[in-house]
This record gives sequence, C-alpha cells and structure tokens, in this order.
Amino acid sequence: MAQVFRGFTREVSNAYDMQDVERLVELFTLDQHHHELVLLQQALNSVHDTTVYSQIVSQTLDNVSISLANFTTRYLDYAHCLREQNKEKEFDMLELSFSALIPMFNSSEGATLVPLVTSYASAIVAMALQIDKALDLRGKQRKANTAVRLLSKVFNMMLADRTTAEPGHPTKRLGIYHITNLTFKLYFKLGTVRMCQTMISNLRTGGVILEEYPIGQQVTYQYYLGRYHLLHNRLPAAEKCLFFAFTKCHYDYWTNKRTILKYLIPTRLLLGRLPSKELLEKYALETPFAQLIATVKSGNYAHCMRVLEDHFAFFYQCSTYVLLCQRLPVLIWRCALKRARDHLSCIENRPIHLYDLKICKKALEQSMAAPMEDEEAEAIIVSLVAQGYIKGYIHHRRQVIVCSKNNAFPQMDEMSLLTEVYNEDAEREQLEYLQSQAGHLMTMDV
Amino acid sequence: MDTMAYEAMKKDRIEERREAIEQGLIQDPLAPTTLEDAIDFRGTCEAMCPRFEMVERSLQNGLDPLEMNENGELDPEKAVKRYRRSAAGNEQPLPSDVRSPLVLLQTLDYLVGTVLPSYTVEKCHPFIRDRTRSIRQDFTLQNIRDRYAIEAHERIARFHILALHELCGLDEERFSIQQETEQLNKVLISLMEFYDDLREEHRIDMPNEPEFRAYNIISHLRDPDTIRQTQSLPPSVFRHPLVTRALKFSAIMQRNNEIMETSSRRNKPHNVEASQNSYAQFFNLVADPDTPFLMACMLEAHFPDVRKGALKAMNLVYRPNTGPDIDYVIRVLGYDSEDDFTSDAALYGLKLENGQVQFNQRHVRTKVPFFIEPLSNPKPKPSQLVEPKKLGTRLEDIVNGIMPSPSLASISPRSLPSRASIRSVAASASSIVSPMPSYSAAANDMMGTAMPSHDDTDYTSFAEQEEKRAQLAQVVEQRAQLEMQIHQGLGYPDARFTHQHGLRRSRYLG
Repeated sequence: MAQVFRGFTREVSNAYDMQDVERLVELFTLDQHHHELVLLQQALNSVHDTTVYSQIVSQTLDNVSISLANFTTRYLDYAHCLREQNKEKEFDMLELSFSALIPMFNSSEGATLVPLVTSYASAIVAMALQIDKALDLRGKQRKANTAVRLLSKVFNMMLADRTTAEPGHPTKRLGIYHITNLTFKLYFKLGTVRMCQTMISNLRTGGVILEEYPIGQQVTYQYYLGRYHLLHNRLPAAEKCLFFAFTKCHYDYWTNKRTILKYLIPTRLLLGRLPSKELLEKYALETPFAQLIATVKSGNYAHCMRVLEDHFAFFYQCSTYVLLCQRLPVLIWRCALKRARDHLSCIENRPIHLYDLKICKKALEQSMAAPMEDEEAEAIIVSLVAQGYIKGYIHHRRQVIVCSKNNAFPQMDEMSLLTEVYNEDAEREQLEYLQSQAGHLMTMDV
Repeated sequence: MDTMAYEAMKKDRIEERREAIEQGLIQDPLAPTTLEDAIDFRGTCEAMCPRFEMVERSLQNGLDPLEMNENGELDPEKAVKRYRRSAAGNEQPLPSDVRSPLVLLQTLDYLVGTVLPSYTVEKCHPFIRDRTRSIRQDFTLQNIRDRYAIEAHERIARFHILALHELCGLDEERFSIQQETEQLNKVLISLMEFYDDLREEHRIDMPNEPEFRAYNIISHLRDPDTIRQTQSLPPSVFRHPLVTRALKFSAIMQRNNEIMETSSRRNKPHNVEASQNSYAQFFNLVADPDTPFLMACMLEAHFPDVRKGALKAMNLVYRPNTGPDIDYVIRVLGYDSEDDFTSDAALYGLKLENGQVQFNQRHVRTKVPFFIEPLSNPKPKPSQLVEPKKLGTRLEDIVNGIMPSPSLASISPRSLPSRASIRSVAASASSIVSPMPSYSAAANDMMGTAMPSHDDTDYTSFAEQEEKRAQLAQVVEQRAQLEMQIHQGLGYPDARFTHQHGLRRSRYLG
C-alpha cells in the first residue's frame, strides 16, 4: 500500500518537472469515479494515520517544491475523507487543498498550472452551491462565501501577471475570465452583486481584452455583465451584452440560451422591440411572455398587471418584476392611445390628427379598467409627448391633442433618451435677451 | 460638583480601566488579537448618562438647557449621554461609560415620551437628535443587532422623518434638511442590515419591517440597488401593502428628462427609458388616505423634484397662449399657495402672463424650449397635503409607531381643518374655512364615493372645529388605554413601559 503512495508521488514529481499540466490535472482529479482516484481511495481505506502517506510525500517532494508537497498531502487528505461520505468534510478538505494550491500558483512558474487551478475552482464552486442548498445554510455560514474568498485571491494573482502570452510561455491571465465568471455566479447567488463592479473595473484598467478569450467564456461574461447592467437600469448596455451572449451562445446549449432570453426579452421589450412568436415557441417561453406581449400590443394595462401577478414567481426570481411593473405602463398607454387614434381614423375614414382629450381619457380608462381623473389622463399624455412617444402638442384650452401629420406615433424601437448637457452660456444669453426686451418695452412706454 | 471630586473620579477611571483589561472586559490596546477572539464588549451603565460625564459636563459648561433645573444646574433626572465622535486616537470606552440595551430603550422612552411632548419640535430637536445618535452609538459599540436594537432604530428613524416634515420650512441655520436626511439614511441602512441578518441567521421576520422597507425605497428613489435588495425579500414582505405603495410611488416618480451631471450640477441620476413621470397621480396618491402620514412626510421632500420634472415636461408639450391656467398648474402640482408656484416659475424661467403659464418659450438663438436648471432644487416646505394626515395624533405616539388612520376617528380627514384655516378663522370671526384643494375630492370620486363640493357646505365655526379636535384626541387616548390593557393582559414582559408611553406596536390600519 505504501507502494501506491510512492508511485503516486513519483508520478507527481515527474509531471511537475516536465510541466505536464494535463497529467497533473489527471493525477489530482476530483472525479470520484476516475480510476486513479479509485485506486488511491482503496489504498487509503486501510490507512488510519495520515503520517503514512505524508512522510512519503515529504521524502519525495520536499526537494522539488515545498508547496507542491503541501498540496499533494492535502489532496491525499481529501481522498482519504471521501470514504466518510460527509459532504461538509469533503468541502472543508477541498478548501484546504485549494488553499494549498494557491501558493503553488503564486510562483513565477505558476502560469503553467492554470488548467489545474480553473478545474479546482469550478469544482469548489459547484460543491459550495450544492452544500449550501442541501444543508440550507444561511448568512455567513454559506460555503459560497469561502469560495468567493479563494477565488478573489486567485483573480488578483492572475490580474497581477502582466507577461504577454506566447506559445510555450503561458501567462496566468489565461484563466482570468473563467475565474471571473465563477465569481460572478457566486455574487449573484449570494446577492452581493455590487461586488462585481471591482472585478469589472479591474479587468478594464488591467487591459484584459475579452475578445482574446474562448467564445464560451465571452458568452458567460457578457451574460453576467448584461444582468448587472439590467439591475442598474442601464437598458441599452444590458441589451448589447445580452444580445451578444444570446447570439454567440452555441445552439446546442438550449437551456443556457433560454436563460439568457429570460433577461433579454424584458430588456428589449422596454426598448420597444417585441420578440417573435417563433422565438418564444422555440425556447418554451410562451408563458408568460406571449401573453405579456399581447397585452402591450393591445394597450391593455389591467390585463398586463394580471399577467405579471399570475406569473409573479417567474418575474420575481429574475428580478425583472419591479422593472416591468414600473415601465411597461408607459408603453401600454402609448399603444392604447395609438389604437384609439387608429380606431377613430377607421370610423371617420380619414387620417385623424386632432383629437379630444376626453377620448384619450376614455381609452386610458378602458386600458386601466378603472376610472381616471381628467388631470391624471392629461398628465400621462404630457409625459408621453415629452418623452417622444407621441409627436405633437396639447392645446389645453380646447382640451385636444394635436398630433404631427406624419409619424405621430413613432415606432417604439426608434425612441431615444434625452441626453441634455446643460448650457449655462445659453441660459445667460436668453436672460440677457429677455432683460433687453423688457428694457425696450419700458423705453417704448416712455 | 467640585473640581476635587472630578479629579478623584479621573483617577478612579484609570484604575477602572486597568481592572477591566485584567478581567477581560475590554481589549488590551497593547496586546493584538484576532477578530474571532475579540471581546464581546458590554456596557454596564444603568443611568441615561454615566456619572463621570455628568460631573465632567457640569464643570466644563457642557450642559444642554434641557438637562438643567430652574437654577441652571444639572438635573440628574434629565441628563442624557451626549454623542461623541469616535476618533481614532480616543481610548476604548469603559463599560461604565456605555449603557445596556434595556437602559438605551428607557432613555429613548424618556426622550420621546417626556422631552418631545414638553417642548416645540424646533426647540427640542437638536437635543433629541444628538442624544439618539448617542443611543445608536452605544448599540454599535456593543455590536448589538437584536430586536432591541431594531426597535430603537425604528423609533429613531420615525423621529427623523417627523422632524423633516415639522422643520423643513425653517432656515438653513436652524435646520439642515441635508444633515437630517443623512442621519435618517444611516439609521435606515443599519435597520435594513439588522432585518437581513436576523432573517438570515435566525429566520425571524420583524413585524415592522415592511414599514421601514417602504421608507427605505422612498429614501433611495433613484438608487437601483435598493430595488434589487427589495426584490430579494421574501414575498410575504415584498407584497405587504406598505411596500407595494412605496413601489407605486417609486414608479410614478421616475422621470427621464434630467440633465447630465456636470461639475456644478452634481447628483443627477441617469435617465432610464419608459419612465412614467405621472405627476398628477403622484399628488393625488399622496393625498390618498391610504398613504400613511410618515410615508407622506418622506415624499414631501421630493415635491420640488417632482414639480420640476412635471414643469419641464409641460414645457415641451403645451404652447404659449393655449396652455394651462396658473390655477390649473397650482392644483395639479399640489402647491399650497400661488406664491409658492410663482417663485418656482421664476426659478425655472417660466413666463406667466394673462393668468396663464406661457410654456414653450423658445431660446432666441437655438430655438430650443427654454427652461432654467438651477444649481440645486428649491427646498421642500411643509405641505397641506401632508399635515392633515396627522389627524391630531400626538407626536410621541407617531414616533412610537401609532399610524394616524382615518378609521381611528369617525371624522373624515377632509373635513378636518388645516392649521392655516384655523388661524384664519380665529383671525376673522366669520370667515369660511378655506377649501381644501379639489384634487382630493376628485380622488374620492375616483374611489366611487361622491363627496360634496367644498365651497358652500364646509363652513364650521371655530368652536365646532375645536370640539372635533378634542373628540379626536379623546378617541386616540381611549384607544391608547385599551391597547395598554391588552398588552398588560397578555402579560407583556417589559416592565419599563409605563402608561405614558406604553404603546409600541405599529399597526397598519387601512
């Protein structure tokens, strides 16, 4: 049995000397069904005292690298505890292994170990989330917090490596998006989303270029970045990221694409772009989106709120519930008024450019399925015109809205936000002009 | 209190410090330790103010007038520990300097139940503000985050909100809205953390959490992170009517016609697509009886911004000579007086002529509709939309969590006279009560109950008004007594709650 350990350690030593990272990944596998790990487990079954193998490891590997020796011992500790079938203990051992891996990675030759680090990172994140769920851990006891801490250390090490990658001379940065994506996943699960900002800024100032990385990592990163923008109400930025993620995500990953759509559809909806029926069908998102979109098109506020309520759990879990409740009404009112205008034009058999605020109010009341005051209806219309959803102006005295003769209801996806940079010079100019006018009038009086 | 006693006490404190370090009650500054081994610091002071501080402040002329007796000396029954900034160089406080949680709540009871009713808000506000800050500090020093800390912070938050409404009309020197808001935000942030921690670690939901989540939403209206936090609440809290109401306000107050931030005009939130900017609904909803008094107080601070956003939108949509009357704009934007509107109009460069607002005046050169963006928004003032919601409830009851509610009294809020109208009635014996703005009538119309118009039927004599107020006060008092009986019947454990201020539970009625 000691032979097994000696053999193992020798293999480790060889692989390390040859910088054969694939072999190292194999040797230090975390896959419990892998034949090498099974062999180790069998050998370890009869071991009760860890010094049996730790001595062998020290003998063989202390000359090669102390941190490697540490890591190997920790790995064997992990393999040893597998027989207890105690998930928490396994995680703790894995945490120790990963902590031992970090000093190894920190050395100047550590860059070759990126594949090993990333595979351990994935494993530890998966296990942390699994345990948190299984044991219903809460607050500070969540293992996800531990995982975050370890990943942050690794991230900083990778970021600090500024050597350019060349064939045969890898850089630690090769794994940086893999680690970032794992960390984002944890942040979102833990609800500490604002921590993402540090990593995003660091990647930018560190000059890390996303396009140089595998497309899979790019997709994942853009997905999280898009969700991050969405949580901060930056809709155009969110759309850009989520659209990239969706289109570049390989068609084999249907579930992932569907997940991306759960965020992309509401984002685009608020920007005035409606998804096609085929898209919703293809990704099994007809409930709830098909109904929702129908209510927007028909300008039916009451129905829309009912759909949001009926599918509350779905939207709440995506954190899009409040966003939709707060902003869809604007689009719905716009559509309701447009339908009213089209209806009128139909009845009168000619294009209508001027219509009564009373009719608008009726249309809005019908949409809300509730009575509304005159002032409230007028305020809503003022708001729509001011934002550009309707082109025209309101003649308050006659209580009518006068629409532009062409394109009074621009397409919703053509809308753009106001970006006004306040011009103090213009303010001064106008005030001076007004003063001179007043002065002019005064002199005229005299 | 003489100087010799003071010097003796100072010596005693050095000895006390040495003993405390020895007994492991406070950290030894010379022995570094880890976070896990850090000592759980616990205060032992049983009075509202530590003895040493009483002596020190008496000698050094550091007493507040509200702590003095008739001779201008310290009254030990009135002394309350003062807030001291925790500077890095200061020594760790002694256990005898810091009050225990029970004492902290008793101190708060004193401040709210005895001091607040005895003076005008303006007079006692600085004192209460400072002393409640010290209470919060004592909780922080002991890292206590349990339900006692929550209760204290809830009541302190309510006090700040109330102060904002009562005092926002004062000059900057006498009351700073910005500083008050800053303190309120600190209390709210702590409260949110306490709620989260308690739920995460112990799975406890505090009964008043929805009320304060609602205040938190309104306080951080343009902060998307607050909405995100709110959406990670369990549905039972998220769906509570108060939170729903706050989110509704948040929705209708969103606007996307803000200018970009510059060095001279800071703190401009970025514009988001599809914003409601539904100003008419906003003021109606503030007046709505289901919007509780304190929530309305918090919304009051946003009136200037809502009005500005509304006027800016109107400026693009109406035209000169065909636009709304001045009276219409005043009504729709909930102004209390024409003067208030006129000063805003001047500030934003809006032309008033022929009783109309001449919107959409074009710039002489650029032809863009002209609208002045001041360096900062005008200050909010106490509003007649909000004041009547008090319904005669005592300020100390409001702070302790009694929500003024229409169902409390048989009198509808609209028929309760505003303070302005009482004064005017008193001034001229037979004048008619000035009518409440008609939007609240319209709001009731919306609810389906027709209300009589004001102009002729609302004449009530001054004596009748006084009688109604007395009736209402009596009802509140009776209810208070009933509640106290219920509490006693339930064997409420905390003996500190005396008859004077024995009501703690906030109740959402409506």
